[in-house]
Amino acid sequence: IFYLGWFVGPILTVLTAAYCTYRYVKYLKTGD
Amino acid sequence: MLSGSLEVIGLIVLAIYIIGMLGIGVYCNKKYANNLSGFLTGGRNLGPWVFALTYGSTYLSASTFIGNTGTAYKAGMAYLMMPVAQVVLLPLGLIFFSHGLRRVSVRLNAMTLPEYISKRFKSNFASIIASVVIIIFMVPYMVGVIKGGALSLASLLGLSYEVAVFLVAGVACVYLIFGGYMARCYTDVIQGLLMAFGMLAVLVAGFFIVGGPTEIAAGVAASDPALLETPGPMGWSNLFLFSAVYALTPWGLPQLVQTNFTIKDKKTIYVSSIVLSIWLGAILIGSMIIGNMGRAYFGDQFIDNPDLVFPNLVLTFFPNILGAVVIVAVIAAAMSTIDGVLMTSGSAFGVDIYKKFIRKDASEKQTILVSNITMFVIIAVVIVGSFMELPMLSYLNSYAFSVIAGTLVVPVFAGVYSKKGTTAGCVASMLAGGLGTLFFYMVMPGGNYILGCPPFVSGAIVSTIVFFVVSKYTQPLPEAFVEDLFSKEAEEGAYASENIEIGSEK
Repeated sequence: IFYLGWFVGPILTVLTAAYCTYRYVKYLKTGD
Repeated sequence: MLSGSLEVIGLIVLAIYIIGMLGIGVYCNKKYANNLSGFLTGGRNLGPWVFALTYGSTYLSASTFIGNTGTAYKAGMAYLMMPVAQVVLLPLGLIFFSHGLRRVSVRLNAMTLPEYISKRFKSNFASIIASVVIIIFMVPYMVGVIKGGALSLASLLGLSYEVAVFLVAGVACVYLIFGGYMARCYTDVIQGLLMAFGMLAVLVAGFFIVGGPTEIAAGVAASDPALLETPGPMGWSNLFLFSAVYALTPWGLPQLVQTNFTIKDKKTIYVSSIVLSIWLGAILIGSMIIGNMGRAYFGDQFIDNPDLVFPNLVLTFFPNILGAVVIVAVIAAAMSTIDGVLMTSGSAFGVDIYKKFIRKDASEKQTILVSNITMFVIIAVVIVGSFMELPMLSYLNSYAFSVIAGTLVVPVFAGVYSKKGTTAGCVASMLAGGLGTLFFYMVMPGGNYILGCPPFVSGAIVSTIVFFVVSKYTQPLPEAFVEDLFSKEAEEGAYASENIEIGSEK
C-alpha cells in the first residue's frame, strides 16, 4: 500500500488516553 | 555546530535556561527545603501535571533524542512500532499501581524506597542492600547520561566537552542542593515541556522538508529496501518485548517509584495518566519517525555514527533560534533524568544509611546536609568518570538499570499486593533478583536473551519465585501489622494531607 506501523502507535496512544479519560470520568462519578 | 551569530544566540538561550533552573532551586529553597519531609517529598503534594511531567522526563533522557533516532535510522521502519508497549503500559501502570504505593508508603511513613522496603518487611538489612545497590549502580548510569548530554551540547554549541560536562552535571546538582525534591519536580515540568516542544518541532519541520510517509518510505527504500520490512530481523516478539521490558523497569527504579509516594490525590493519578500517554506517545513515536526521516534525508551518510543523525537534522532544519531551543531540549532531557537519579542516590546515603545506622539522633537539618554532601560527592565522581575513558564504567552502565530494577521490583510490588511476604523472603528475593540479573548478563554477554527473556525479566522471575518460596518457610510478619496496611483506615488515610508545615524549620 502492509504501512500499519504508521498507524498502530498513534491509534494505541489515543486509545490509551481515552481509557485513562474513561477512568477519570468514572472516578469523578463514583469516587473510585 | 551552530555558526557565527547563531552560536551566540544558542549560548544566550542556554544561559536563560540555566538561570531559570537555578532560579527554581532558589525559590524552592525558601518554600520547601527547610525540613526533611519537604526536602524529600515536597509535602506529598504533587498535582497531575507536575507528577506526569516529573515521571515522564525522569523516565526519558537525552538518549531518547540521540539514541532512539540513531537506532531507528539504522533499523528502518519496523521501529515505528517499537515504543508501542511503553506508550500503553506506562500510563496504565500509574492507574493500576500508583494508588497502592501511595497508600502503603503513607501508612509506613516512608519517604524513600529503601525506607519503604525496610519498614514494610521489617528489615534493616534490606535497606542496606537497596541503598548500596542504588549508590553503586546509579553512578555509571549517570556517567552515561551526562556524557550523552555533554557531547550533544559540545558539538552543537561549540563548547569544550569539559565545560559541557560541568554545565549538565553542575547545574542539576546546584538546584537540587538548593531546592530538594520540589526543585527537581518544578524543573522537570519545564524540561518535560521543552522535550515535547523539541521533538515535535523537528517532526513537523521534517514533514515539511522531507515529506510525509510516502516520501519518507521512498527515501528509506532508496537507501536500503530491506529497511521497509516489518518486523525486520528482530521478529515480532522481540519488537514488542524490548519495549515492554522498558515499560516494566520503572517499577523497580527508585527515582520513579518514589514519585508515587508524593502524589496529592486520586484525581492526580487519572489526570496524569492522560497527560503521560499523550506526552510519551508524541516523544517516543516522534523519535522513531524522525530517525526514518534522517535515513530518507541523509541516506547512509551516518551509518557508522548514527548518534549524529538528530543533531544534524536540527542544524539542517533550524539554522536559527529554534535550533538553539531544540538543543537546550536535549540538555533538558539529560538534566531531568540526572536530577531524579542524583536525589535518590543522595537520600539513599543521607536518610537510609547515615540517619538510620550511623547517627540515629541526627536532626533533620543534619540529615539534609549529609544528603546534600553525598549528592555533591557523587556528582564529583560522575564528572571525573565522564572525563575518563574507563571501559569498566561503560560496561557497568550497560546493565546498571536492570540490576537495580531486578533487585527492587519484587519487594516494591509485594509490599503493596502480598500479605504473605516475610523479612527473610524479602532479603532473599532482593539478593536473588540483583545477583540473578547480574548472572544472566555474565553468562550471556551483551544482554542477550535467556529462553527468550531479557536478563531483567529472568532476574525478576527468579526473585519472585525465591520471595514466595522463602516466605512460605520462614517466620511471618506480625498479622496485626500486615492487616493494618490493607485496612480500611489505611485506604481512607492514603491521601491524608502531610502533617508538616511547608516552610517551617525543624
